[in-house]
Amino acid sequence: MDTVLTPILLFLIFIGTAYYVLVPFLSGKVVAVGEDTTARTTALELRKVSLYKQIREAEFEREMGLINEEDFQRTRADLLTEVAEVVRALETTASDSGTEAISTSAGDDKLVCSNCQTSLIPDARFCTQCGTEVRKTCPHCAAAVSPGDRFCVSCGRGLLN
Amino acid sequence: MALLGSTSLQLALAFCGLTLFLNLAYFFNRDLRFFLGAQRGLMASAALILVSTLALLHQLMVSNFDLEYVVRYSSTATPTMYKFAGLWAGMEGSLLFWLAILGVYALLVSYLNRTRNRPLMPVVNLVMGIVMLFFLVVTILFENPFTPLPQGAMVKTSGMGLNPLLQHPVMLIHPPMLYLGYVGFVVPFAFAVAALVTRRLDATWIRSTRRWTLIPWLFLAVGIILGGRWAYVELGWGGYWAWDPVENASFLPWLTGTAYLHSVIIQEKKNMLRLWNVILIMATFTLTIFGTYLTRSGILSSVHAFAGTELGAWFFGFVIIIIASCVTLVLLRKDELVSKNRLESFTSRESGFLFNNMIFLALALAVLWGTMFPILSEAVRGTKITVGSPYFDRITTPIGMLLLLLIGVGPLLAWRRTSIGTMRRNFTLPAVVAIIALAVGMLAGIRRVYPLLSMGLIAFVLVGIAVEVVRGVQARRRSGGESVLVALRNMVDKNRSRYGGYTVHLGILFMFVGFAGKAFTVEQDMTLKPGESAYLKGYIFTLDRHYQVERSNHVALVADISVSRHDKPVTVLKPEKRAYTDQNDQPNSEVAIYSRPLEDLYAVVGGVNAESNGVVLKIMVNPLVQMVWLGGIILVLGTLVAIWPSRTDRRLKEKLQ
Amino acid sequence: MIRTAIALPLLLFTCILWGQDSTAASQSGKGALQRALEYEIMAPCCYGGPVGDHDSDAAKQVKVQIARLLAEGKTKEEILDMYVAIYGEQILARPRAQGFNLLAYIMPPLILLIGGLLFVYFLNRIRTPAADTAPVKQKAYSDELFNKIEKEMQELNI
Repeated sequence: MDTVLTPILLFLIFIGTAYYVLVPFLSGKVVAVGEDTTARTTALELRKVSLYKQIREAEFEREMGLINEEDFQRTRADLLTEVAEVVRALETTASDSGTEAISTSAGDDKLVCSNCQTSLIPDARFCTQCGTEVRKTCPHCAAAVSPGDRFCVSCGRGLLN
Repeated sequence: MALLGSTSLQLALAFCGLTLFLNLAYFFNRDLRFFLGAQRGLMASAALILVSTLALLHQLMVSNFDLEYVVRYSSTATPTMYKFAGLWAGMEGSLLFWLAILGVYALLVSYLNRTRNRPLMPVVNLVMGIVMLFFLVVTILFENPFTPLPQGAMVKTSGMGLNPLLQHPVMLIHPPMLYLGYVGFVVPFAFAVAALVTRRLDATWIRSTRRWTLIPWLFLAVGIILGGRWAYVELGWGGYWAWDPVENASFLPWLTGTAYLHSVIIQEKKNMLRLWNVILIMATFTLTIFGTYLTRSGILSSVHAFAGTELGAWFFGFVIIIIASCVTLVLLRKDELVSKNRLESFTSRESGFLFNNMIFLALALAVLWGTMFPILSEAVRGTKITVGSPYFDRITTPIGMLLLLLIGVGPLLAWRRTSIGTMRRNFTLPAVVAIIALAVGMLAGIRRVYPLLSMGLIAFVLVGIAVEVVRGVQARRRSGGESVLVALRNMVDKNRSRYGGYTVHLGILFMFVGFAGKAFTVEQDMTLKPGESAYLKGYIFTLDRHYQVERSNHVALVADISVSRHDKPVTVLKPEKRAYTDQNDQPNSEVAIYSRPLEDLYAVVGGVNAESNGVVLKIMVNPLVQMVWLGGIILVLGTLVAIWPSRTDRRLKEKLQ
Repeated sequence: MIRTAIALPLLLFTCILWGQDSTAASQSGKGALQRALEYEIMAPCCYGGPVGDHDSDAAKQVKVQIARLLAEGKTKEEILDMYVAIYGEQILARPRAQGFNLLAYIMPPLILLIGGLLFVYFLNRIRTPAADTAPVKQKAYSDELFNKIEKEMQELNI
């Protein structure tokens, strides 16, 4: 019995596996899009979270007395600078692909008029209520900035008149 | 069933080939269908390998002596659970077992990454496919476990049975653990190659492989420790580590893997050392394949080695190909070496980690050097020489002391920078306790350098870790008003890799206590007649009687030795000398061990002198051996703490997706 | 740093050549020399381990021989020479530190030396000079951004 059943079983296994492997070819050609942006954003988000954790760790190490106040301030300033760079990179990536920079923070991902706080659609260039221009790039250095910022993350010059 | 097994294996080879073809096609046409097909092909191939493995297991269980493999590694008298161990007892079966584990890893990785890491996955797939293809080809062409017994061969109808040395419960776990460790490093290796090929050396592959590195690392550690445990309870020489070439081969990837686990933290924190981490993982994987080569080529003599076959050349070729491809790839991407981030200070945890990396690599290279030296020496001088445990003890003990020191210093340094003043303050208490420990050791009459040094360093590390934890808990209580236990739990959960790491350090510390105890082993060979006694280190060993017992596949000579201390009975040791009837009466010692918290009583029986009725015995008192196993358990717990996802990470994961 | 990088390997080299062996302990019932020799000579049956660890008949014979030779007043070196003359160099559990085999002992400290020098060189290369004497960085980021970061950290509860 074994000599009959086993070949049949093997044949079924072969057909089943071959079908399983070749299923994707039943549809038309598929080309991936937007992978690069997604991957870049993920990497930057991970980097940001890592930096946040490091800020907390540094605060904790200060509490523990592992580092003194001066070292802590230095480390914190370094870390904040790095966060600022990552956030800027995220914004650049986001403006490339049309998604929001700090997408995880619930309060900030809506576009709000810097003059009258009216909520606006993401692509708005002017406020629908007061007509103030919604600035998304720094007028001095053209770096991407968030609408509510008072100073440019890149050059440090003031953004509101 | 044998047909099912061998044909599934051939089908697996066919699908593995198809996978590689589809995968390569995807790199040219970028048509996702080809990648999806390749991924499914790899999974199908893995599933077929598992079918084949189950078929072989079935053949072992039903003792189908039509297969040569079953005849050689099983017998009707072999207990059922050890029939299972037949799967990895021989070359053919163990290669299939290797493939099966690779299959499990491939299935898991493909499934868990079906939507994640899309840019990396094609290369990951390709690398795993190539490794799988190599092992499939080798297994099918040279070491097919489903080969039928040659016609007209002299057949022992009940099978030759499993080597009695392997008939021990630990042997049911030790090889699978070691294989899970060895094979598991293929996953981070595949991701590392993918990251390098696609120039995505960012945080993504690190995040994806953190657990995939910790898991094989843990399995490898458990495998090595269980191997030591097996040697201790089964081989009867009272030790657990002999610096045998095959032991070294398993230790080497563990060392480079450990170096990687440390340096990867710097990449996570500072986005530095990106190429370096890739190189470490490549070295680790290469060493696992190289270890397989050492075990299976027969170029080194070892108790573990399989009989030498032409397989050696294939494995050697594969190792060369891996090294050549890795070197080429790294050279092509050496511009990635330039990192814009910098270290801030010498006195930082980062530089501590880098120093640790250097020591681990130096240790690995030194062990590799000692392992390969006999071959080199024979090639140059034409004389066979031995590089045995005394050599390795001399080399590794001082480096081990250095590592112990580093374990202590590391946690006292903060990330990025620690000013000298703070450092001095942090060092005071541990250093003072270390000096006290040293003085206590001197007063207790210990005059030898390494045990004394170990005592001091162990105290230093222990106090360092304790201070760190106490200060952390205090800090949390100050700021959050939590109770001690809640503070401890939250502190660990906030930073699992840090405190998991400290726990692992604690485990290593316990092991070092055990290693130091080895220096105080006391041993005596003796011949006792029934009723006679011997005195050793405070214990009186009395031979009560000796007798024979017949069991299913062996006859055992048992000696009952009652042990007393200060006139109080402690235990009765019953060491055995067995003759395995299904293995041409092959003799095998069964050690008797009685463990007290601080020392083991260890007895081996050699035989009975027929004329004088005297029983030949070896008795040992092994101090602190328990600490090695206890350390192993703590190491496992610590790694689990680090692997377990923290609440913060789970929350972040939800938010980011 | 450089001094440490050179001193450490030298120390290691000293430990390796003249250090103590863990096995040469004072054991009850046996002299230290006997014990040491048992770990210098491999068991001639299978070369699977030093006679001190091995339980084969051949290993036991060697142990008895060593005891006899020591009783005859032979030195450690003489006894080792005798065994080498009979079985060849393979009988030694570790090669003698002379001639080509000296390499076995020189290499590990050399590796550590090269590693140490590379470590110092590499550390100097990737270190920001004077990062700790420069004034604390100020205002590389706006307060606005900092508030945002602080808020996000709160929200993520990191």
